[in-house]
Amino acid sequence: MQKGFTLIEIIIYLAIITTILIASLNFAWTIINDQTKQENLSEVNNAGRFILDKITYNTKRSNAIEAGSIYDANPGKLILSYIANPQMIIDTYDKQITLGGTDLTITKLRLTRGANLAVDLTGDKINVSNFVITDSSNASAVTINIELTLSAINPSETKSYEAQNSWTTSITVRKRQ
Amino acid sequence: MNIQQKNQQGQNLIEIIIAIGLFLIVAAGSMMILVRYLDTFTATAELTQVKYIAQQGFEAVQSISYNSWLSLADGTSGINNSSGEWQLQAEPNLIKEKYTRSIIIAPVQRDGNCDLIESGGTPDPDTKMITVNVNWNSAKGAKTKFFSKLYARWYDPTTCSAAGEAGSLEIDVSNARIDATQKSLIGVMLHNNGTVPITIDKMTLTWTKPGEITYIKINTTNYWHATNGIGTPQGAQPSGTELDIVNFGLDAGQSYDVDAFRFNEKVDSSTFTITATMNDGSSVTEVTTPPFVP
Repeated sequence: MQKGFTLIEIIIYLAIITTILIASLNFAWTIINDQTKQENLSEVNNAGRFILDKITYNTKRSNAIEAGSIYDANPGKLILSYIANPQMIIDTYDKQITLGGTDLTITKLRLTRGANLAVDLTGDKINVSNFVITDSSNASAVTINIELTLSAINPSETKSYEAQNSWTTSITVRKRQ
Repeated sequence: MNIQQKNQQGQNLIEIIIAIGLFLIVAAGSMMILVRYLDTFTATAELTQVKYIAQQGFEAVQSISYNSWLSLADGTSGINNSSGEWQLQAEPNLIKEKYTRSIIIAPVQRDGNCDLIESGGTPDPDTKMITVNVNWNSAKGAKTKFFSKLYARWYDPTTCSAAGEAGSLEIDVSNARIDATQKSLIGVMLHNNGTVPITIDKMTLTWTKPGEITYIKINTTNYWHATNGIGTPQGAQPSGTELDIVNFGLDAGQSYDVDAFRFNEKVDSSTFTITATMNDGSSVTEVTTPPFVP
């Protein structure tokens, strides 16, 4: 009366199960690693979009870009003036943070409106590694170009968590009549 | 033998292989979903890049258009700022060694009413359709995005958007009043606020009291008169009739008195609308509140 498996069946069974387990563990591990990287990338991309849209909106509707703005150097500084609103400054500053027992200095972007306190444009998970403004104005138009590079802070410098992105765009101050 | 087969317990190899096969199908399905999910991150990052690459194209064209609208020649091109300001160039741009950006400048047609139409109109020299096309190779193959905007030379129009002669004419009714006979509307001023001479071709008046208009005297001269052959039509005219006056020219920056709009009945406490139609067909309408009786 045949019952259960023969030895050979069990061996084949185990071999198949092992192969599947190894494959799925490997896959799961990749996913977990990748998720951290993707979270960092998401953070970087969302911050980039937010900063560029904020600067674009405020520059388009400004009246002029004031002297004191810093061009062609990192970090840049943008001073915008308005007809009916107080002037606006977009620049960077350094902040000390502690992450997992490690002290770090990160560069953040901030926006200052008139006499108000500065408002951060980036969170503590993002380092602004490049913020350069160049001037491409002509006789009748005020146009600036912005280069922005953001990286997710990665104190352990784990290669697989690295997330960095950079963008270049331009903005022309809108004509008014 | 038969009894033995009926009492068989557990699975045989073929059943296990089928079970594993089923499991693999389910597992592969969920893995594909995960991979697709992760792909969307990459796609989002690429689209964000494309957005700002396209924005740079639009803003550079905006900059060029403010400086020299006429340099927006129809065709496909790229941009560069090697001279310190944005300029068009023939070749498309390659950005980050991945994204190819070309800018397409196309004419825009308008019909006789200045409405935008697809075809059959005349190209408007004051309006251009700017399309930015970005091509790149993603992990999923070649991708392309088109973005379009209409750019208009609204600040210095030459055709449809131009206000015409009427844009320079101001009919000033702030001192309009009825004279002592109560049959004349006086005190209306005409200003040419523009920089070139303009000409009034026709005038139309409406009023809310009985009676007919008999003459219009501007700057001490009759430009329309019901009975002595100046302007058409002849004869006293009712409210709302378009009067083809002798063309009245206004020099740039000058003001002129309308001495009287004369009626054959008392028009005190009436509300007047005065429409001036210019030589180019544009027109201005002004409404007076009932002028006081002296």
